[in-house]
Amino acid sequence: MTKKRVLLSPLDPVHDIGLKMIKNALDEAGHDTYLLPPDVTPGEIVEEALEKEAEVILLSRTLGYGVAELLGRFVDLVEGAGIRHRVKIGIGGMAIKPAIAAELGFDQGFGPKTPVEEAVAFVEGKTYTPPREGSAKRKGDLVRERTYEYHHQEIKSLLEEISEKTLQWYEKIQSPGIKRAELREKGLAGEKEYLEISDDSIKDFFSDGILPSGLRLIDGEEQKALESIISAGRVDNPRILQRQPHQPLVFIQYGTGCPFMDIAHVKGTEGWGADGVVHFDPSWGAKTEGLLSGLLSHEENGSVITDENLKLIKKALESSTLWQVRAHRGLNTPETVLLAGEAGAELTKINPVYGSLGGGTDPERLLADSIKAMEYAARYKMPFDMPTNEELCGVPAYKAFAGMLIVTQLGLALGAQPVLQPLFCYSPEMMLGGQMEDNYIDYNAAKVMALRGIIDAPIWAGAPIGFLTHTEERVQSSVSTSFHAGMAASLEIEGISIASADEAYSGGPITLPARIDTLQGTGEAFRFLGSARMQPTPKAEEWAEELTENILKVLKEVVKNGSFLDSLYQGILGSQKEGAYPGRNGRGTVLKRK
Amino acid sequence: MKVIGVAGTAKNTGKTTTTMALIETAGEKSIPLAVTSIGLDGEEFDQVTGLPKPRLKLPEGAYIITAERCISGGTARLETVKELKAQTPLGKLHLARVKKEGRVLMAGPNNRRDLDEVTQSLEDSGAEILIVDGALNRMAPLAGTDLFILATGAARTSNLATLRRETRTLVKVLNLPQMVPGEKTNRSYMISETGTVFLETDSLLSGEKVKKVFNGKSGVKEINIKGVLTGEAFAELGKIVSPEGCRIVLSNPINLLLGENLQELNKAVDNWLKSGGKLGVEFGLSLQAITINPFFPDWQERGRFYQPRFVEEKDLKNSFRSLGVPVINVVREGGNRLWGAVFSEK
Repeated sequence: MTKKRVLLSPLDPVHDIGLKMIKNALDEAGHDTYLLPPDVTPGEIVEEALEKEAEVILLSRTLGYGVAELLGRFVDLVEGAGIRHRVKIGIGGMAIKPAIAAELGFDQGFGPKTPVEEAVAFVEGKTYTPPREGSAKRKGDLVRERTYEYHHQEIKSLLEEISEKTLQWYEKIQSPGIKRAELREKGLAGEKEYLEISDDSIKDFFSDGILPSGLRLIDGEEQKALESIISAGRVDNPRILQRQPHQPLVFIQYGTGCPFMDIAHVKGTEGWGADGVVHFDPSWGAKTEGLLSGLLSHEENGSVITDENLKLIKKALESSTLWQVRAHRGLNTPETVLLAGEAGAELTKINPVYGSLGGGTDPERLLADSIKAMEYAARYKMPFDMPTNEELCGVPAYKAFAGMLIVTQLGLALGAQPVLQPLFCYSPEMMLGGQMEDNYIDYNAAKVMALRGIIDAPIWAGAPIGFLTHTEERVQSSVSTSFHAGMAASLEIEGISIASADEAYSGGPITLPARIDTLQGTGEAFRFLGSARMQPTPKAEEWAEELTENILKVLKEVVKNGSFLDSLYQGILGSQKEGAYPGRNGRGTVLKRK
Repeated sequence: MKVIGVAGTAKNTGKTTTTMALIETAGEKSIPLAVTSIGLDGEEFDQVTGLPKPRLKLPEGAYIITAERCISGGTARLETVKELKAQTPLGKLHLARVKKEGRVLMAGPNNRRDLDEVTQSLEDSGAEILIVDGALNRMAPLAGTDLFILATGAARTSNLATLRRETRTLVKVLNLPQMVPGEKTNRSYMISETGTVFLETDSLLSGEKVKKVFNGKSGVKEINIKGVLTGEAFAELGKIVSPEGCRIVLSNPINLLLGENLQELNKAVDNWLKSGGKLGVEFGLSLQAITINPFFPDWQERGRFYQPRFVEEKDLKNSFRSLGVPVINVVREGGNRLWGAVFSEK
């Protein structure tokens, strides 16, 4: 390295900290630096530059009207003094960016948060290379080091009993969803046998090319454009939101229906720090027997699940991004997990309890299909989370948790990696019971404490965190997300899903800036807390104990009933009075295996 | 090829509008041209005020010299002919040709040496003129241009009396006569009764420096300054060195305009000349026209934003009477009038 003589001048006394940091780095690198006091004129700086035979001048100044001319005159003065060809000039400050530096005649502009290394590289005439993707941000691991060991032995033995009986039942049954998945495995998706157990809309597509309304195939030109967007839209240096290893991975959900828009949202949120993205399919997809094929655009919410659509999204993702494809509530659950695994998804979502009590699918059908889906999840080593969204219908948390824990044990018995998903929400139970009258921390903390007291399993709070606390006001919604994220970090859970700041009340498509709002808010929460924690009141522990006792009671009832499936119909895991209605889609389609 | 420099006295004085008028007129006359900027031009909004800026549109076949990151920044389709050595904050400079007309984003050479490289790169291009759009109040890189246009107006100051006074000073300096230096050298020197002495500095930026260099010197006949002479330094020089029988030769007139206080400079120049001193430049500039712009961005403290405002056009024009240089409002009077002034023999 050639030693350089560098003159540093803070034209703005308030904002000279950046310059001091650069000076320290330059000193450390062995350069000769001369830091001038703040109250010098452009003429005096040039005189110093002449005297010290400076090779580089670095100024810092906040921009404003008139300041641009001052800086322009400074550059002219250097030129007039005849040293411009041998002096490089850089400018840093709050409003500075490369375009402004070009306008002012400087050789480089350094905006806020410029790494000191970039300024040093400028001085040394080297090209600054920001840390490459992958070297800085690595793919997160949601399961981390959780052991899946039960801490509550009574609950463990109840769950094992329920799970065993359920799997015995599963051995003897067959469903169209399971059969279609098996046909797909043999490469027979869309063929005669597959179509025989599919809905008419799927048959029409494969036989006559007729697409359901609101859908269209992406043509060749559009496909080329998408490919070029994907190759041009790489995120060089995705932001890392977490400051400490215990802070959770952050997921966003996409599913605009349009692949262009989905990719734009995915790339934007990856850049702003999302660790993972969750694929949302259309609600009608859950009620349709069979899956379509091809690269499809949907003019309403929800991005259609096809082999081609999923593979395209996968192509667009950065290597550090976790990808989840939901499969938790419909008639194509096993096939969806199979497709997700084939397309390279890292995560999926399966929960026959919520899917049948709040999602509209018949419990028998969804339980059968979910078990098959868990087998695929195990095969493709995709951890699956179990959303407990039935809580939003009015089902008390302890009932939703009892269901989730049964599914957890089923997953474990099948060799899969289940992820607990309690809601961080202001649920109807809370509204009626008043548990959140004082604060949002205690009851959410109680949920995590209760689950952690039962089993050492990963927890991914959702979905999204702060459900029913957002309003139409974006700042309020971002702040609420931020606090919930801070709480999640304090509770050391593995993941969170966040909403955009306009999700609850967007009145139309969700916007990317509103997604960035909540990502920024989450990052700020992590920065704010670092290793510190939010502290629940003693009430949390009291409620955690209450939750555990109630979960135990529910599980005993299920055992007493003798059948997990029948318990779903009987309301043991959420009754009609509480807002849980066993779904009807696919009812009567489960048959005894031949 | 003629190189035309469009310099301004401040932001928003109409440099780009002047440049655009020349581009359009050259198009009408089918004169092949090249364009560049010593700053950044063609963006939709001003980087500082946030107010809309005039856009730059280039016809098919024109050459543009712009930074790498600006090549695809407009609607025009550009094809790089050559990558130059010069570097800017927006990447290396490219000499490019307009393949399909449209708007362009232009960030060019930020210093005189790089502008020389740009000029040389156009040698075999067939371009007959190179228009160099200025930036802010910066003039130094334009010191070597063949034809010089000064853009000024209410954005410099909306006080028209001050604007007139300042413009008179600028015209006086930019029109300084050419002089052949007494010595052929690249260093600054002084010739006195005792002979030629090289100065310890090429630039006189402060009164203190002048004292240090010239105290005790007598019988000075010529002072040759290769670098900058500020108004403050000039005033001090007038006190120490007797103007009678002494001539000051600067490298170029712009080197006299780079200090902070134009009024102080004006006074120092007048005093020097009145007292029998002579003042000239080794390389003169050809100030062909002044373009004027009544627009100014008015800072609203309440609300903290810039509001577009205008001074009375008639008053503005009146304040520029009898400067000895054609004064043109290109928006009102058109590019042809400007073209006529720029390319007329003086």
